[in-house]
Amino acid sequence: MRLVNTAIAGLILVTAQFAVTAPPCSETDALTTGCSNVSGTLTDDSAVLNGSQPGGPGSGSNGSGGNGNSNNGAAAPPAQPPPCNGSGCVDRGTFVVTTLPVPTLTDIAAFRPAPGVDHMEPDGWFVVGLDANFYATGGASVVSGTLLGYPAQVRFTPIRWRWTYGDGTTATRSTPGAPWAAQGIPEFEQTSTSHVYSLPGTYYIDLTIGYRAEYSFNGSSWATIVGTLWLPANRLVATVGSAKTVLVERDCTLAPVGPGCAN
Amino acid sequence: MAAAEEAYGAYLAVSAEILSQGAFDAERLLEVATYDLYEAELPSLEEFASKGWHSEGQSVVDTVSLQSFDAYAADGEPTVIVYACLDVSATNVFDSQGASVVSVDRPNRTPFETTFVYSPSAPNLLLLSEKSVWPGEDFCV
Repeated sequence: MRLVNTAIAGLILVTAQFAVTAPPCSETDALTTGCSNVSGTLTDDSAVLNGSQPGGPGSGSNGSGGNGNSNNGAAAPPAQPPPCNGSGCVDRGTFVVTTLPVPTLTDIAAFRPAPGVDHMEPDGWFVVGLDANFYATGGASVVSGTLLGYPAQVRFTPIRWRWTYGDGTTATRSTPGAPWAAQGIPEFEQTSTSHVYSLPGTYYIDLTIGYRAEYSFNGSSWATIVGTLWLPANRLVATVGSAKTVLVERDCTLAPVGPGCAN
Repeated sequence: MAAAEEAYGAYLAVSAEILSQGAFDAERLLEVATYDLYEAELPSLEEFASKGWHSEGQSVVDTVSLQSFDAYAADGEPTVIVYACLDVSATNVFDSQGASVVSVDRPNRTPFETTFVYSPSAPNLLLLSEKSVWPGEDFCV
């Protein structure tokens, strides 16, 4: 995209050219309404749209905007006002039009949200075959700085949580989870973020949090940056063991050689 | 290009299976698509699920042609871009009452430009990373 601004005797001429590509089409759209293939360009004095929008509001053909022609929607050049000669008009001089850049995830590399924290229940030990509950804490955060040369704020909102359990399995969830007690669920019961280990051992659990990033230049409204920013949280270490309940005759801590205690 | 065609077919197969089951297990899409594409598809899949819809049949692709192969793409991942015709004529979508919700204007064949990248976890596996309707000449007519 290029943007050039010139002003001649109070008359502002903005020369711009934009390319508009067809939008992505979701699978559900393709199967139900079909996909739009509308694309076009904006040039100095015309807007040209090509394609069609099947089904739904706004569909149709041979449409046109303004006083454009009907075959391809091309608008006629706008009428230019007469030069200002000081009678009945005011020469407002030269204006500079600045277009702010559109940042990408790469551009906000210098911005980082407050890191999320991974937790586990029970804390540090699990039982083979029983659910271990994982949950993350840390909400949205706003970071101020300079983005593409302009003062800006970037807002990070966690939206996805990807656990790597250390046993060769991973899970991506749309919720950070919560402690059993907070959910009113008994310990070792399944939660939306729990995991069951099938073998004893020591496991390293890593959590990666996916953030939606939004930016605001100098107090403007928030705009979303395309894509999801994935950042690691803390690593957890847990020991998974087998548990067996045995009925013994007396307290094994006081009488370790009592019947059943040797097991 | 054969690998891209195979990857596109795998994507459509998984997508069809997800939609046939009401789109409740959308994360399965990550087996055949990048996370960014999954993210882009997720809102429509969640809406699909919330409406209680399900699909029958499977879309197919044909007329696949290579647009470009970039072994040194900007993000460091080899990228394969192909043109392909998406044919949805063998599919239908039903609401919870069993009535079809497919628009009578739905085109059965649509030209797409699709991008694939290699999976970071499986070097020989291509994942669908982008897809958009090809705005140029309709080569699927």
